[in-house]
Amino acid sequence: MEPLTSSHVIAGCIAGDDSAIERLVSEYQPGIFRLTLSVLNDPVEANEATQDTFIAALGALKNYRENSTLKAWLYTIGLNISRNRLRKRKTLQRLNATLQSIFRIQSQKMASPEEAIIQNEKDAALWKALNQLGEKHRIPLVLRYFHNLSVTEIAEIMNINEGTIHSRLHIGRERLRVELEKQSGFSGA
Amino acid sequence: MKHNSHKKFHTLLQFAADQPLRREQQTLLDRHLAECSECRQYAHSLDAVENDLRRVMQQQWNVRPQPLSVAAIQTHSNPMVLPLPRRSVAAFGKFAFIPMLALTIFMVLTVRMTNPQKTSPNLGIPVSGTPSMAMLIPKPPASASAAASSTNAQACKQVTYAAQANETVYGIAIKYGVSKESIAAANGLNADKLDAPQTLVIPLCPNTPIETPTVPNTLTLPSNNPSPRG
Repeated sequence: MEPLTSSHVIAGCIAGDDSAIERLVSEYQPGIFRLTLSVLNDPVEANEATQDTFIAALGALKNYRENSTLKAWLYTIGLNISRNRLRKRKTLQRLNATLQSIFRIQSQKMASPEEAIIQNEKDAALWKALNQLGEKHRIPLVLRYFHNLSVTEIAEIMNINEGTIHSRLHIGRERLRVELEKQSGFSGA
Repeated sequence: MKHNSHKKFHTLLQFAADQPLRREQQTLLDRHLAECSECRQYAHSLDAVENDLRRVMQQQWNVRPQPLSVAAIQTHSNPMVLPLPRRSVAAFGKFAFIPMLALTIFMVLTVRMTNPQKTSPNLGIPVSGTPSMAMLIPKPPASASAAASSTNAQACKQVTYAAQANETVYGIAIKYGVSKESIAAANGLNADKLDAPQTLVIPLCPNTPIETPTVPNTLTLPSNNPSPRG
């Protein structure tokens, strides 16, 4: 694990050494994939975004300075690529909705992965609430609870200061808590 | 007051979920939680949210990544293949407007600066390099002034008027709608009042209002009186 951050693997990647790139990919691919999956919520797109992340990273590796860890640096790239895709997807959805409203096409609802395997009603409510949070509050929560990152690491990856991350986590958690309480109130009544 | 303190401890609990509190904060919180059931409840629900969140995310995103082909990544990230042209195009697109703007300003300034220098000393001599400008710009003042003076001289139609004694030049001027100075100058008159009946030449210039048809009877045509001064 440790020696990968050593500069000679990075130098090998810059030089285009196959084995060095392979090491980089094999070490970080699971993490990057989890990241892109958790942001995009779609395995197919997440795989594409992971590949894009490594492509972008190899292209920019010569600009990498060791003032952040390689992991944080790669996560930043992965996060930016995922968010770009998310934005494109939103635009596409809006366009689709507009076209459908213009031509009054009845579209079959896309089977969204988020409705995949939730049996529990309470979990379903939590999942729905999480997806309704909006990128700003959702991504810090995902990084904190799915990737088990510290606030400092999240701040580094998102390029936002720690206080802001604290407050976003606070708001996100609070909203989810209120939602869950509502849910348990309903089920209790 | 009590509500306020609850809020404060809720914030502390929220903060504690992200990173360990300072020792005195922690003891303060612990002491409060021991006696406040509402805040204990809050802490409990916060824990529940955290745990549920972890579990649901793990459940939902328990997907294995597809193997990545290193070769594909390498060919795409090879700077000679893709990023370079992209980058250069992007750089051009971003900064192209600066040289364009500079060029435009330069061209405008050159035209502005060179025109007066080339035209003013060359009133008579056409500039060989830029014939159209040299011909177009210097000519109007010269030809315009010449034309103006010639039209003044030529277009001033003159009529003669048989003035009675004790008529005034001013009155005649008003009749014809011209200035009394122009009549005085045309006939060499000094005084305003006429002493004896006299035939006057009245210049009707185009820039002054044309003769009013109110006095047709007193008009004598120039053919009857070819030498007005005589």
